[in-house]
Amino acid sequence: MTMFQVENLTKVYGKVRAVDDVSFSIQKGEFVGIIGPNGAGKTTLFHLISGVQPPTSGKVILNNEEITGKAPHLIVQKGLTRTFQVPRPFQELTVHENVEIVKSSKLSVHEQAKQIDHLLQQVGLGSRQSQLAGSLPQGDLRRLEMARALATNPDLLLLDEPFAGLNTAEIESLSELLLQMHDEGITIIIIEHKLKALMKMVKRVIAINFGQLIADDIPQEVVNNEQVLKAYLGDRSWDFAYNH
Amino acid sequence: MIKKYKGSLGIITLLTVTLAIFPFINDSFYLISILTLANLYAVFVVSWDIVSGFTGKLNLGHALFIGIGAYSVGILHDSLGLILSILVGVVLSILVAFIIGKPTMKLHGPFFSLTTMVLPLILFQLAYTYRNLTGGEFGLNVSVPLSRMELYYVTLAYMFISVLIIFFISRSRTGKILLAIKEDETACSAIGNNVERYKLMAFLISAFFAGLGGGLLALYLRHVGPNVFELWQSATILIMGIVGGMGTIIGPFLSAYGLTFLSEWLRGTEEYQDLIYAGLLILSILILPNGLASVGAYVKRKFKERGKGTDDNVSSRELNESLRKSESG
Repeated sequence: MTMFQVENLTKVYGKVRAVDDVSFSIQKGEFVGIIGPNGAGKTTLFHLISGVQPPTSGKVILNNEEITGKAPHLIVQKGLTRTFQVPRPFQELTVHENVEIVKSSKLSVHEQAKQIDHLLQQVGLGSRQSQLAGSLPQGDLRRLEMARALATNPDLLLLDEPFAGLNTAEIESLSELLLQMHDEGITIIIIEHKLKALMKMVKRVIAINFGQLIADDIPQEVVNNEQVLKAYLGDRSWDFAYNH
Repeated sequence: MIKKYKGSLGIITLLTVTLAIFPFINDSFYLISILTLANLYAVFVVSWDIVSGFTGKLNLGHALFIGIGAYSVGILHDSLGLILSILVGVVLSILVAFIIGKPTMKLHGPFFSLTTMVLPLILFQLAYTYRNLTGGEFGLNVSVPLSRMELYYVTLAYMFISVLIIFFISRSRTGKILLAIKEDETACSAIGNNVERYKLMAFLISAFFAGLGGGLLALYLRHVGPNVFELWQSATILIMGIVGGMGTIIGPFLSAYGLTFLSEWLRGTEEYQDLIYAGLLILSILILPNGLASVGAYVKRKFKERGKGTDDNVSSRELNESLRKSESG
């Protein structure tokens, strides 16, 4: 069942087409990766989908309802949540409070309050609930970002480079959490540069370059796609990322 | 919740009880008069703080709502009676806050602050223009059926109830969302919160209490004139808020009393009064950027630094953590 569609989505800044006529659809229960070189337009695509920025043209459809250009909080209430490339904790609030102020798309404030402890335990922050978020190390900030996203009870979760800045053990741990979330029924779209870790989780990869969708297939086909290879050709970071 | 915030609640309650008992120890007309004014300023500053300190939207014209409340009493108290005229002032303040806040809260940049700064100045001019209604530069006299002592206790009750309500809002989930909005509106919206609605709600609450206080101010002064809209009225509240510690409620609450007395003390210096006030503001920003509310944490930190021999600056995060610890007792 098609749960989510992006149709001809475009974002133009002056003469720059940051996202250029991108279209794809996601089935309920999928776990899809998005890859592309730096500056390809991946995060901008997430901004357009999640309402942080309005598109220049095109549509975003979630569960047969158009959500194009709606305010971010309304899109969250429809069941779509995103995380940010750089974690954005509320530093003056504690870990517990950071999750407490999330507005769930399905639960009342009272029902949600009962879940906070379980959520924080689930992401591994159970013992840090009273700690100010601003004092958390990078790995825990990612976990907090995840806990806040989960607290919205999303149907579709957009993750923007959740492994950035993490070591191998942390990536492993976070990957397990993501797979668990997927098993629990959340449809996930994940942007990542750490390709080895990504390929272990996803069954489908979309590749973006210069704002355009250049490939959409199973991981093995995408990494051997000529256009994808050209996008990374000469970029040593591609080879490094794939082998790490 | 009461147990959790017993520190701040204790201060508010203790000060209120002290002020309630005070006239039995010293019923000096002069002191009671200053304390009545301080009671009003405590609510003006605290109601200002729930917007400017908590959402980060700096209100540069809180005098607008005070003036609306005051003029409503001045114009209507004869025809509608005191209570109804005060209520009209409150309703008008909320309405004006809605009209200003709805469009400006959506905008990024200084538009909200500029709008709030300009509007009292416009009303200041209108008060002169529509002199048949407002009495022009002479203003309007307000006949008050309350003695000075009765008015003192009315303002004390108004202060206690208002500050408690605003304090509990600030420490509730709503207050935490307001703080999150100040830090990062986009992130707050991305976790499902209607940021514009929360900012507007804070502004309406602020207008409610300021408008109510404005009506009481007219009773205190027994007069209302265009100077109620003056920039200095708003600037005084701003200074009290910054010196006290924006975003804490308890800091501005205490600084309102301190600075009201200071203002009276400086009255004799006349031409230097504004200079001293401005100097105080600059000093407090340099020495205590987080205001008086952080002084406990600052002193503690300085003693620690002497022991370690370091000279690190106190981060706002550490100050807030310390404040939270002292607040929860």
